[in-house]
Amino acid sequence: MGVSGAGARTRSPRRPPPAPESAMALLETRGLTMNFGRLVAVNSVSLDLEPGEILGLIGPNGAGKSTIFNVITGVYRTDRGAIRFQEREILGLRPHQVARLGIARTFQNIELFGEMSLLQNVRTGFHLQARSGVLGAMLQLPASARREREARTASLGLLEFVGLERLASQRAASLPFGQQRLLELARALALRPRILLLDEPASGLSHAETDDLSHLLRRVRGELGVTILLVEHVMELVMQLCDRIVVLDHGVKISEGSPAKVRGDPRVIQAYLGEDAT
Amino acid sequence: MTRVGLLLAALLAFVALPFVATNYGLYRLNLMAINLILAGGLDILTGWTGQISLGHAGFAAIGAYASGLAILHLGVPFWLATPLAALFCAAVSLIIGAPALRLSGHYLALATFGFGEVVQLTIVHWESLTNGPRGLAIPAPDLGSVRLDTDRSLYFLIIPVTAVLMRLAWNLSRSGMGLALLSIRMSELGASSVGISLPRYKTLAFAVSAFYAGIAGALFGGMVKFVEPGAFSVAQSILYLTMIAVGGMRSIPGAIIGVVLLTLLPEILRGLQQYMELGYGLLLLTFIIFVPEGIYGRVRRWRSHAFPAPSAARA
Amino acid sequence: MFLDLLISGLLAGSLYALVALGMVVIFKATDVVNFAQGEMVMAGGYLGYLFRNVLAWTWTTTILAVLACSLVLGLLLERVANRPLMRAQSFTVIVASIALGIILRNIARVIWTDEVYALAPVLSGQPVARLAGVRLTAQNLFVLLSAVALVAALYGFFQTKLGKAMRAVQQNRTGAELVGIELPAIFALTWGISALLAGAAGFLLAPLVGVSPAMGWIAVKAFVAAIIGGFSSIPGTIVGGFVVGVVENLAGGYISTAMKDIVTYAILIGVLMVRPHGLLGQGLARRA
Repeated sequence: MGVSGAGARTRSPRRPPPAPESAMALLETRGLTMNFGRLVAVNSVSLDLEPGEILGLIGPNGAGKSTIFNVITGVYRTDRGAIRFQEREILGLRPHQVARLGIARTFQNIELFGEMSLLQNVRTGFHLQARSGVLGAMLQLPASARREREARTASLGLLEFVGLERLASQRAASLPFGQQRLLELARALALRPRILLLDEPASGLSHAETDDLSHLLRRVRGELGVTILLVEHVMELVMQLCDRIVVLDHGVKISEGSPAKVRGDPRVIQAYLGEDAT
Repeated sequence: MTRVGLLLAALLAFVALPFVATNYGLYRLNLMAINLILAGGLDILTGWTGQISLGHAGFAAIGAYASGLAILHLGVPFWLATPLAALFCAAVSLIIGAPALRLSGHYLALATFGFGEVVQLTIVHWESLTNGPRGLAIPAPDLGSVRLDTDRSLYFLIIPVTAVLMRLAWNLSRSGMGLALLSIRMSELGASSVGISLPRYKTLAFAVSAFYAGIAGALFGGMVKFVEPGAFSVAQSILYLTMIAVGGMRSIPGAIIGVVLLTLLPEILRGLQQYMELGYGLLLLTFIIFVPEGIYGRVRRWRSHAFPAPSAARA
Repeated sequence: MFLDLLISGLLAGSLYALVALGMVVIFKATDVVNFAQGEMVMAGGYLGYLFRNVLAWTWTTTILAVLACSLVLGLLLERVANRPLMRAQSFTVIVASIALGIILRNIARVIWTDEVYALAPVLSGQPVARLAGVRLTAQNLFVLLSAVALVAALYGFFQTKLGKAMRAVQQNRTGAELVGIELPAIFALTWGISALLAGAAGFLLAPLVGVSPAMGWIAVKAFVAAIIGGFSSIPGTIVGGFVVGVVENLAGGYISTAMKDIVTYAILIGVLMVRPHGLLGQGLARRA
């Protein structure tokens, strides 16, 4: 059946769903800076993520792309700059707090719960909605049991969305790489996020799998109304999927705009060529 | 055999056993059950969330002394003193756990070590309260008018209590909250990325494990009718860690295996007393490096290789 | 009496600091807290007894031999107990080092029982100096100066090429690997140095408490010292050592001997609750 779900592969126009109430950016960073000792990994980066768009973040290795993700989600701490989500300042929040606000993510090095089944992995994403006290959980009170059933049903639904429902009870660690990626995506979607941060989702995927991924992500944006920020090296995915692209080099934003514009930007070419030359 | 049939058989065995077993055998069984409560609770902290505690004997001590003193001086009946003492343990755990759990695992190991030592030292030196190293005699547990004075009568208290607590832990492991706890050990990054608050859940696991240890301590005091600080040392704490590491973490059969093995081992090797601790250390080191899944985990692996899981397994 | 307690606190603190430095050195390079550090101290005591009392070597030879053998012991332990766990989860490493400590201590108990052996101090117990009215013995000065010498040697080592490589690994392991630094070699060296410091501390400690498997308990005080210092810097750890030594001596003198130990643990728990990152430095926490 392939890596993707049973979604229709229509050639839908690259138009995001109508923007909600305000025209304010959904997520914006202003002058975001991250230092590791004397190494400046992210240098005063400002970017906007518009609701409903798919924004690509690219750049040569070491450009600071994953670091930005880690700062936005609170994994790394910095005090330089600002991050606003739905006009609320989120710099300094811890990872679980960022997740609860509606920003989900996947990881470059997969961070699945290997010993759990696929269903259980996705189920953990629902833990926020299906919350019961310790006592309720231990005593299997009817309310907890009902919420538990609902969460499992919803988890199965998400596994269906990404096409993994037949493997629901298998151990996550036994999955091949591409499917682990999909599982992480399903788990992230369980948060019902407004924003999805994807860290190199296509890395290690075959050409066909990348294609499927591209269609799947369009469905995530179109059907689930999720805004996507994507770090990626695989250019074909970036070019065919993203509405806009931001280019980083050595922690600095050097270009942004439509794929066509960025592709032709001499600074971008220089940054990548410079890397190839070494 | 049907499910109901199995249950009835187990019930029958449970009721019949004390009438065929020796008193000493029952004593050993009771002791193992108490150890299981503590080990099972410790597993929720260490096996599920991956936090190491070197001070759980301290919680058992608090449970034993708190309930014992409440019975002696305040006239609180045993059935009330025990859960209250356990709740007290949980409260204490919040005090030392909450700050330490925000940081790396090393901190909790050190903090709990310190805690266990402080508890033991406090018991030894606060003679006016605890009678110091000489220990405290505690009356046998009484449930209303019934005095549980024999191994057999204690069996009928301890085994059901153990079974209930283990069942509750099992329920927890199948719940969303249990999954959240289990996820922490597997990937802290992944867990926090789905909104699981690491400090909150680790603290929760710590409190539950302290509660279990408190119950175990109170039951132990009631069973041997005597408490003294020497029984609650850091060596004991490490012994419990060894039980779950050897038997297999994150599973009740694993905990049972570990408890049975390490409760009976000292008896089997009675002549080699001085090698006992060395043996535990070697056991712990060997298992943690080469058999991290424990005996039960190994058994499960062999079984799944021998009998591949059916494809339409229930999720 | 206050000054008496203060001085004896500083002397004890210098030993705590030595042991703690070994822990901090290992932690900074390998992210591992060595729960068997106390047993490396114990080894130093037994080695001292072996060379001096059993083999009847001179003091100089004994000291050199203790240092050398401690270094080798550290390298050995690293190879056997740490190297196989290089990529293991921190949980496994912590439990393994706890188990290692138990094994080492009990090997000593099995071979030599719990009996306490007496090791004479290097220098005499005669008072030879006065500091603010407090009498200091020759041995006191020897301990102090040895500690200072070892710390100075440590500082000096970190200026060498090898030392700089170790500092690089401490700051950024992946980065160090990328520039070609051999991690296993650095880890081995780290444990060797740590064991050397511990062995020296054990040798200096032995005349005070006797040689026995229980010597390793000094590690608890050293842990507290390291935590106060935030597990991060040499000066911080030294200050931590002094704080522990002085406070416990004052408590012992003014309240009761029973309080000495309780106070140490109280400091441990107190620091962890109030300022877990230590009074100086960033502590054991790595990420946000």
